[in-house]
Amino acid sequence: MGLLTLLGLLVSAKFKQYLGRVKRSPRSLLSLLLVYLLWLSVVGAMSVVLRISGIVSGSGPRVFLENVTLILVTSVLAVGVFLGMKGGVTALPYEIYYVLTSNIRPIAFLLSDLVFQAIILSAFVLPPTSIVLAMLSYPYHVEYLVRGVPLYFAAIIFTILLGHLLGISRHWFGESRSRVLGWLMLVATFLPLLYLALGVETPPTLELHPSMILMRAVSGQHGELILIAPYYASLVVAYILVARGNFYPSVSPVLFTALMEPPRQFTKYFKTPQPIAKLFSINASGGRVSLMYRLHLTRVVREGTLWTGVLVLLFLTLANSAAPRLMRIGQFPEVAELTMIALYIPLLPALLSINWSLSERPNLWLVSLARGVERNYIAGLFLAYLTVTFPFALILYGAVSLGAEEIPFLQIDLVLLFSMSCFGALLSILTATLLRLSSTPLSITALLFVVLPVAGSILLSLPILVVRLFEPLATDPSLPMMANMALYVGGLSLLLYKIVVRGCSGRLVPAA
Amino acid sequence: MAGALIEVVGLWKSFNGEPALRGVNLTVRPGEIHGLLGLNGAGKTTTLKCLVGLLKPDRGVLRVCGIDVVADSSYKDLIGYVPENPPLPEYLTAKEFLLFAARLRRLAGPGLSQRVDEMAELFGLKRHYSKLIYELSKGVRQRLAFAAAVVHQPSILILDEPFNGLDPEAQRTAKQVMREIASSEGGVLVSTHLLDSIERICESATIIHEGRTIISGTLDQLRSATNLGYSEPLEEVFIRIISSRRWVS
Repeated sequence: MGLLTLLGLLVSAKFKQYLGRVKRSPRSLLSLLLVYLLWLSVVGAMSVVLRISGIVSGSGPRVFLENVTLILVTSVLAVGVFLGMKGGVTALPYEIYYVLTSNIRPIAFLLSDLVFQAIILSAFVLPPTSIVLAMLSYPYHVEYLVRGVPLYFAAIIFTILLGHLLGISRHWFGESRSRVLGWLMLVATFLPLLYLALGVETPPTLELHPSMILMRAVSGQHGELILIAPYYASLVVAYILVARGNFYPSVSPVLFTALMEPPRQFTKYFKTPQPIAKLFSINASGGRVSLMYRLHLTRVVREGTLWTGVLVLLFLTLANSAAPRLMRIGQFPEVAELTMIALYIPLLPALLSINWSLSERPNLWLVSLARGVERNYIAGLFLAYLTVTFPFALILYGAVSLGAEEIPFLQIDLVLLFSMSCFGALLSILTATLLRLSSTPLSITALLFVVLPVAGSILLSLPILVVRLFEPLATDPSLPMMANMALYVGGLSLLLYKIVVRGCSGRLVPAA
Repeated sequence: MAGALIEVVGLWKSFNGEPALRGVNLTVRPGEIHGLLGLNGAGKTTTLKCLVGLLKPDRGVLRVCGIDVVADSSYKDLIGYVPENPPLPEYLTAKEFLLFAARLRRLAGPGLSQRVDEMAELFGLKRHYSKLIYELSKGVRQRLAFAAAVVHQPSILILDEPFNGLDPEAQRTAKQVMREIASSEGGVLVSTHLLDSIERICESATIIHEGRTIISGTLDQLRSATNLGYSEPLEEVFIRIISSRRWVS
């Protein structure tokens, strides 16, 4: 069999497995289509907002496109490094057992994955960015599209090569060195955004960062592209060298769920240092709520899903802090920036609940067998989510407030952060219990796992949000108003908790 | 039936309109180890899941020690259960998992750690105590699940393929535990494809086929239902009964 035929076979099998559910059910096809259209419409709406705010602030389309390119390329590179740290090669379980044990050469397998990832990533990156380009650069959209789309595709190939190399590097450098390399690369990827978020002038060496080079190239400085050539040359040479060896033993499944399920092979559970380990373990003392609370804390810490969620939030905060400066919007109110961060907070319990649904739900048979522990289970889960969400929200909020030279932690901020954490945790639990999430990365259900807690928390926290946005009320709230808000959050939390307990009753069972 | 530890009468269960069980009947009496046999997909696991409360039956009577399983969950204190290929929380150590299982079953006080240690000793888990379940082999995980099922000293044990992955030594320990429970007027309901094991430890068995009970009784009664002699292995008896699909109960 020729290499091309073999590649075709491997790629089509990968697609059939990855989108297998789509073929079996028209409802799944519709679901995938809806998720995709929703993704496109969100991007479209954001472009319109950017366009309007840009007009207000007096920025031209070229500045916009440079900034959009910087954020986009940085995000694409970050995804590559992140996947690289998780394994890099999108090996599905059937490939581990059947393809990797066959006589197919590693280079053929690697190339098939390159094609597969290029198609998937292109489908999710190129159409939305084309929308952004077209909206922001109108009436020069054709010129910008011709210039921008090939550059973005080049960035996609760059990131796949990077992800593959990082994933395979475990085989050559060992697990720990490869992980250190991954973290260093992740920090390096975010450097341009970091400098902009902090408002510090970028050093001249940062001009050689791939994101910065592509940013300049998109605005018409084609000569800049020569600077990216050494990066590609190094990647391709390294790729050819490593693909010659047998890296199969280091391949682990990745990207077959919503990224929140720990990979089955080569999973490393975090072992915390001894004094801290006592906090995150099961012991013989305490009540049942305490038992469940410790169980869930232990899970999110040891499985590392907490760190994935924190990483996502940090990236969003970074992008959020960098965006106004990127757009040269001097009058962007810092209060809005801080409020935006508060709105992201429910993402953390939402992401944790995706993991709960995938990896913890099967263990529920243990809970189902014991009498009268459902309430304790819900209480423990809620307290665990709140324990990780609220302090993290405080740290993030405090850091950004100080960075923005705002007074950290107004009383109203504390109420807002607590309500977002509390409602986010409760709605995440309710969503995860009522909806069954299958191991399909792209589905309406997976989307609802994120959308419902975030949108629900925002709606429920609306009265506090409104107060936060008005200057005299936010900085100098009266005692009765604070009491009212505390009563509102406390009362609603209690009511919501009771709804969650009732809603979850009889549903804490593994899938049939 | 008076005095029965487990009583299943006319059990029906469907998934997406497709019936998986269409009238399962079985009885386990005190002091009995009862085998639940059937081909793949016959409905054994579904029957056991209905019995332990993981699935809600469509209709039928399910009683454990006379308690209606659907209406009253107090029977759960009396049972221990090992599912087929038990999913376990991989992020816990073996010791933490046993402590968790024991505390779920309301064990507390100074006796808790002692009981957990006893079970770990019995199933040879002491040297794996500080390892995460993720790091344990399939057989050790199965031993751990078995130890967790009996840590609260249940009077009824419900086992779904309990010998999966167990080495001969662990199988012997598991059988010993089953016999001890039966000898103290408890009962064991075990589903397995290992018919020679059933032959050695069970007094009685139920064979189900396509969601229906086709025969239930002592092993001798099963043999007499075929034209085979009493010395024939259970495997032969089982295949003969399944092939003829005779409706007895």
